Amino acid sequence: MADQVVVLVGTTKGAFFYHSDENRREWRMTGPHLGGWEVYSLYGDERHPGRVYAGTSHWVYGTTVRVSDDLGEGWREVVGSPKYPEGSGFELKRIWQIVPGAPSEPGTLLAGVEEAGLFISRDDGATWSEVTAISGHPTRSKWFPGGGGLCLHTILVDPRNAKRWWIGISAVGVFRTEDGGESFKVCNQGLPGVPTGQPDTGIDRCVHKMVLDPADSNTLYMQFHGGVFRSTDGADNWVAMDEGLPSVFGFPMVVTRSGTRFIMPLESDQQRVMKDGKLQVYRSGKGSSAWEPVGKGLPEEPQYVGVLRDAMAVDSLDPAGVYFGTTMGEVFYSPDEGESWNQLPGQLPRITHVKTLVT
Amino acid sequence: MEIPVHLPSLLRPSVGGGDQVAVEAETLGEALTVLVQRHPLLRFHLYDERGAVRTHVLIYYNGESVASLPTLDLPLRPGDELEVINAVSGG
Repeated sequence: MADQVVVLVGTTKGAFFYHSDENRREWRMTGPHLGGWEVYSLYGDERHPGRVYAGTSHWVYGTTVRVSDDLGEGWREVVGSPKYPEGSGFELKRIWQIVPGAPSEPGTLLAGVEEAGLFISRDDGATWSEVTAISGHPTRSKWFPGGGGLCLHTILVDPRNAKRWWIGISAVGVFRTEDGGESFKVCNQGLPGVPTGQPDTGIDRCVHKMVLDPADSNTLYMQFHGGVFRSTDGADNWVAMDEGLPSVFGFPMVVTRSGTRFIMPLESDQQRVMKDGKLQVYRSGKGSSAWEPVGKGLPEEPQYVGVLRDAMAVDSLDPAGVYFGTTMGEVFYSPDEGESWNQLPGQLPRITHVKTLVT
Repeated sequence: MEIPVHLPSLLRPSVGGGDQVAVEAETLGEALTVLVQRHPLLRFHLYDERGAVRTHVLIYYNGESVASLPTLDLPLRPGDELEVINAVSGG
């Protein structure tokens, strides 16, 4: 039984937290937390009750990790935050992702950053070191930023093998390590290239978001720049799975503990808003390769908004809650795996990130 | 010589919450070094990966940007002060 469900919402101007109980009917908002800072990543650490990590950045003052041990009432800034060494030639612009290591490594955290790089902490986020096999990857000279910047936005850790991770980098592609970050293999087979005006090098695959099937560490799903894909061999090969979708362009993708996936297709990369102004979630059940529109309760009036790649989340309850935030600062939630929807109170700044914490 | 360093609101949590900190130094250059030694989070916020002052950060010494000074080897005097602000760059 859960005592508390918290929805962590990052925006371009601070973070906002919504608190409820396991019924997820009544919500109380706190915030803004970290006012004035862009919050591009949040992680609520179930291993330490009340702890939240935030990747904060500012166009003038740069980027650091901040930690709260009381759900945002107080914050401390991490002196050992991720940082590229002087002379590296890289600039750390934002922290796009903070995730825990495998359950067998309870003190481990991983952070994905822009310019694309990976950092690891072995001491609960007190100090971070660069995973140089990414920034020094043999293909690094062929990486070019997409519209969202050269960002490492997705990190997946195999819960059954602490040394096996996947990462996703916009306009670059998928990489997998089997040795805890000592080396990375490019895993772009089956993904189409994006136009760069350069010869196809196999390193211009625009992955938008990936998830790992909770029950099968060889099955991954991906919202790509122009398609939705699945791999059943650990990302060695990707196959399209877009039956039932009105558009194959979109950003977020989430998966519940039972294996159900959710996405939110947008109207093409030229427009990047909800198709026909219809705010619509699509669902694909475990074992299905097709998608279907789902849910009642989302606004009927036109909603020409977007939902960014990390602005969608699920919780760990049964039935799972599903949450998303729009580029216009509205947060919607479903307490029943997408069947019914409501809006959380408040109009927030542009929403960059949504995560959940169940304790 | 101890001089005050005034900080913008966004950077105050990085030094414990106050709107200014004091640094003890003999010269302006030494004061800037001591500032980030005593408050290492300010190194993230004031300097980039090249070790240069961030593009939109201004550090004023008695109302004048240190970037425009011919040298930082200036002896500090009573009444001197430093101030960190961000450059207004449109918008």
